Amino acid sequence: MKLDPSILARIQFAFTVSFHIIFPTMSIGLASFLAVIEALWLKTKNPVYLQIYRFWLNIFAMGFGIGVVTGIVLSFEFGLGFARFSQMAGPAIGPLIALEVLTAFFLEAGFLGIMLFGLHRVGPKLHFFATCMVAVGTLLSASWILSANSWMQTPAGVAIHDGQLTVVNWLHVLMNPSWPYRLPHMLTAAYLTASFMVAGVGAWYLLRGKHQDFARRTVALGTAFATVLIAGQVFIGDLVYGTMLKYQPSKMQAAEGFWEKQSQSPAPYYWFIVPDQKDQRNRFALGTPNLGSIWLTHSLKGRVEGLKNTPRELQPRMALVFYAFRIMYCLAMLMFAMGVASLWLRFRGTLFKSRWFLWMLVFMTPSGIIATLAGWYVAETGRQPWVIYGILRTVDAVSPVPSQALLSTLIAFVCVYAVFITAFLIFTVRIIRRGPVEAPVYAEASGSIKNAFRPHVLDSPKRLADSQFS
Amino acid sequence: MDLPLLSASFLAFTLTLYVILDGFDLGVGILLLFQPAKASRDHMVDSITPTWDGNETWIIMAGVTLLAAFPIAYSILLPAFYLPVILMLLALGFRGVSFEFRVQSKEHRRAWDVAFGVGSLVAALMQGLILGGLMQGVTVQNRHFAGSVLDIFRPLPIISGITLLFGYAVLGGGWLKLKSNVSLQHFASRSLRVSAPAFAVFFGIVCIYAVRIQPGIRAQWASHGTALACLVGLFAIAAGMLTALSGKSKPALPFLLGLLLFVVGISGTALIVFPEIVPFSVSLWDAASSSTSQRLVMIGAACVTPVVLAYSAFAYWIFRGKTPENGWEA
Amino acid sequence: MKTSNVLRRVYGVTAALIGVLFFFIIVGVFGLPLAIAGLAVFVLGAVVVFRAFPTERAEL
Repeated sequence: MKLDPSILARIQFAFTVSFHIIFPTMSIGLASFLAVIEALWLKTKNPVYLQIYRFWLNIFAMGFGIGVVTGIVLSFEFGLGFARFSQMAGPAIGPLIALEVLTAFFLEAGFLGIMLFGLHRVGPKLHFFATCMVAVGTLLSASWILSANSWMQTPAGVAIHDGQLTVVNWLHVLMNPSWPYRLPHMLTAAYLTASFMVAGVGAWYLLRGKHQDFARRTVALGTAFATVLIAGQVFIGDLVYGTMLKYQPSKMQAAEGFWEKQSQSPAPYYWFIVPDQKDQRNRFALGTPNLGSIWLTHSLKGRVEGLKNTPRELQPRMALVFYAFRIMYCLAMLMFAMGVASLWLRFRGTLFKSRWFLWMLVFMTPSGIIATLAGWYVAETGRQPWVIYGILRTVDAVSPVPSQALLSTLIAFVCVYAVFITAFLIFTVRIIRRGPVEAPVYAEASGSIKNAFRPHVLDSPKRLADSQFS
Repeated sequence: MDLPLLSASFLAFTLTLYVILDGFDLGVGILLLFQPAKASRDHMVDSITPTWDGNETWIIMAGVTLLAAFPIAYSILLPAFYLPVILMLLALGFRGVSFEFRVQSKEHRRAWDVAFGVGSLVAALMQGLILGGLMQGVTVQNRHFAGSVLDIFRPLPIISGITLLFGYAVLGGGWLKLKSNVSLQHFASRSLRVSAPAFAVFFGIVCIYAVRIQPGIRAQWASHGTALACLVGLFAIAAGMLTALSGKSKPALPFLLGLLLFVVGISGTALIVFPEIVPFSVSLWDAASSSTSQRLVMIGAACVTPVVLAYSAFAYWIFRGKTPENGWEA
Repeated sequence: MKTSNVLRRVYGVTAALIGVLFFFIIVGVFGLPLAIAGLAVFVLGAVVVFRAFPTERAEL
């Protein structure tokens, strides 16, 4: 096995960033979901909404924590594994990430404490404000980091003088050509992830006949959001596709599985290929005739451009990009089908009774996470061999650190992160098994709802005296 | 306007805030390892739970400011400190997830508490190691790191690590005196009686040893002798006060004295490091990115930092007073 | 009854085919303006279904 430092650095970054992305994707979606739920609770005073809030708050808190600590790793890992990249790109993406920390991380962190632990210490309006601020923080965070990553994909606004980058126009750096499309794409992915997570858990309860009220509401809400969101997502996805076709043609050429400069006409849509990068051909390919022209060229007979249009040393690895894209796209189609099915079942009045549908929802609980990961693999492996497209290659970007150090720390990351995700899954399953807390929390505790909503400090003597808790 | 100087000041500001705020978080974590009673451990963790995330965020701010304003220094220092940085990140990871995981797990809470404590301890040690490594000097060639990743495991960094460990324990003890209930006051006082003198002694050793092995530091003492001597004196007095009075003092005093120790220490470090950013080879201005990048960071920092400080202070105010006995959930 | 079963199947398949058609429209096979229009119609239609066929009607 090659112990090439650049390969090891890539594997290490790929591992840590893949692990990390799972958690902010959930957090962005769940934070907004929680804001919606809390709004519904405040408006309708229906205790089931508080149940839903507290249930998902638990899982959100764990995921958020892992997201934060794995995220800190990344902000230093640019320098640890890719020092030459950092030196070059620092002037451009550094300020973007600095603004992310200033406007988003602090906002989330500042209000998270109140959101998680302040239910008893602040009034309901301030608590709702805190929830909203955390949700806004996640949104801002995604915006900045997507701008930084999009700049790496479609750089703009910079001038280069012997290996040094100077920013010439910040607006061009921030709003680089792919950002306006990739940002809504990622945000929608996060909201879809939460929708299917929530609906899937609800469906599980319905199948077992438990926690009916909780389950019906979460399935209804989850499927409703998912239906609207997936329609938007496939629309945005096509726009992202068009943009990347223009600015990073090599990526889309690799994504579709065609090698020849001009494919046959009409072109098929490939579902399964065995690509041979050395011989620049597919040893085997299975596709639906004509569909390639229809989907990829929006015409009946259009030809698709293959990877040979890109010089060999600048080609990404087709196998990686192709299958990552297929996984994401197939999940998208499945989600769309689920959305249409949910509309049909609502029409027939059997949304909560159709067992095959509920089982599908359960299976699709992690679908958003898998699709998001797959999409990111398209983005990052498709950009290779560049780390800043057209400017800096990945092999030229690594740190002067020996392979042994990279390998040993990679192993350390894998072991530690394995502990994190195992614990997360065990505790999440436990929370799901336990189910939502049945009794309404404190609406009746002090005899009037108004009292329960008044802010107070927990240990004040009067409070302890009046307390009707155990 | 000297933008690199401004950026360096902001960098120093974020690092100072980090060291003070996460200092007591990590300190409480270290002390957790020495607390046998489960209820007391819960109480200790409760005292830092609502605000730890914001505190930790300052280190990200520092790292990212370095990337944005001094990318050359970032690209030299991170490979140089590759091993301690990664160990620190993993340790902070364990500390961070333990907050949530220990609550979820009744049977294994003790194990998660150990993870919490060890994570805090290792993180503190690594941060001290990095500081010592900075003082020791880093091999630079042609604006790139040219040394070995093992250079950091030498006496000065190691002693610095131990020094910071005791320093954070002092901050942690002070925080507990401020926020905890009666039963933990004794524990906190006892810890201060050990950590404060230890901190002072090791700090002294570091100062002397650093002067002996790093000519750059000797030169700084030559030019700023009086200022540095005053700082050392102030440090000694504060440490002495802390050791003497930890018995029955106002609850805020030990914590404030601890803060003073750190402010003094940081000021001294700043005096020694300035005007280099990679001591003692690369100056601030040599490591800086172009003015367009510096300007954006400074404008952003100037506009947003006051807001951040305001709502962070607000969050602390919400959770003011003594930490409740039964935690935050009731 | 058997006829009603068959009819239900036909309705179901038609609904599925309409779904597929919407998918093709929204991904832009027929151009961007139609994609935008298709998306708008789909979302509005979904909202109409949410309101007109409430999931809570059979409950407490």
